[in-house]
Amino acid sequence: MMRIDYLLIGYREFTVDIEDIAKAAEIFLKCGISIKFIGNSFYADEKKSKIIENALLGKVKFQKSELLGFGGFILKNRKRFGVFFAIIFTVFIIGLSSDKVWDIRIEGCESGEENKIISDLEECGFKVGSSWSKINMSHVEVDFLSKSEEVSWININRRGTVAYITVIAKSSYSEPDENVGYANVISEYDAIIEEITVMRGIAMVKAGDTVKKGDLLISGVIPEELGGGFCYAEGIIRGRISDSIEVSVPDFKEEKISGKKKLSLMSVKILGFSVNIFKSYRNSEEKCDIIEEKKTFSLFGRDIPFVVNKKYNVRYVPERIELTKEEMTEMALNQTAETVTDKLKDSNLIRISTSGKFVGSSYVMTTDMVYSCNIGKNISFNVHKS
Amino acid sequence: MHRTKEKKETPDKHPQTLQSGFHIEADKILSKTSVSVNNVLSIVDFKEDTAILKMRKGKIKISGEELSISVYENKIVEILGKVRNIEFL
Repeated sequence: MMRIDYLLIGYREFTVDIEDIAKAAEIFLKCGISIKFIGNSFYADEKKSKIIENALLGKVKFQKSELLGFGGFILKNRKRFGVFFAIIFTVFIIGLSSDKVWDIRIEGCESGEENKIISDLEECGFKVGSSWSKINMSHVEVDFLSKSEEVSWININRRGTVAYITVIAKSSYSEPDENVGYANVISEYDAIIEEITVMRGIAMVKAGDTVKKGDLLISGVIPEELGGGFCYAEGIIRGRISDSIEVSVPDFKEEKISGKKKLSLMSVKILGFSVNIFKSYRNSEEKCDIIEEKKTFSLFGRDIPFVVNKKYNVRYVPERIELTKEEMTEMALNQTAETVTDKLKDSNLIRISTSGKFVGSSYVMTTDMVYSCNIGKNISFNVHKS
Repeated sequence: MHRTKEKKETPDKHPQTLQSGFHIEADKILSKTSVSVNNVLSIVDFKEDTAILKMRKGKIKISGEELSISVYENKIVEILGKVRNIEFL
């Protein structure tokens, strides 16, 4: 398939003798020129054609065509202004019309409810004739759900100029009881119980008890003397936890020294269909970062359905940088602060102490802390009736 | 910040790292096969049913039917067509 940029900008067809294919390919390999042979012919844009001509001149016999594609067409008809005006006008009309919603199709509801859904969507600003680029789909969906009494979920998908709407109707059943089923409350940490409030179930520990991770705190099994049976145990149990964090920082860090950015892939998305234009291979043993770029276009303030995607390879070489003692200490402090903040987000800090020392070529920072938090966790269980 | 450049040494290689002598990848594209060969030094011969490529560690012969050749940067050569056999010469 011809590259779309060649078709648009213009290209030339080169033909060599079948016996000379190997020789021509060898020349391109040595000059670093990317060429794809189709039989004994290949194609290149105007700029690349000049490079190819210089490379092959005097070494391989070849024939070169006139400029082909849209670029060639423009060159041939450059004085026929009417033709260009008609082409530009046609593209403009097609672009504008593809921005409109031409049809709405609804799935997931009874046939009689479709009209109601369409009229509700119209109140939210979405109907046949609406402009895709001016509609915020998320707002329409949220707006619709807040107004509709029959629909519990809606999703609007665009395929070309047709809107496919999927809905799920609300079912007429009552909200399920959250406490259906049985559960115990167990400890998530090794801790000392500070406070226990039981809302449902039987307390198995009291304030001051020491518990280990997994110990039963509130039981969902009701003893016979209290009526028997099972329940979904619930309660708030605060425990005091002792924890220790150790952070080790080496005496060096690796930084990337980036090289030049090089295009590795280029593709175009037109009306939702993606077309690959250019792809180059790299040496897979080299280290590189990949940068992805997306470019959209607009005409008279409207977005046109034409997106250019590019990927670049940026080669890098890792360099090892030695750290001073002050830098090592600062890095250890930052890492410790991050870990401590994460652990204490739903807790109350009681006591914290930090110490650090140089061990070999690393700096080790140790933080001991005592804090209190909720330690209970619900664990469901099933009862098999015999 | 104090920077010191270390003397460049041969980087540690994982025992399973590919050697840079040759590297071949094959892909199925519809009814045809694409064989990409890295680090090609030269194209010894190419016909519709045979391609012979030279690499640092030796030559490779790809035979089949309706073969076509593509050349890329970084010394990569791709042979596309009904590939029947790949031989190391």
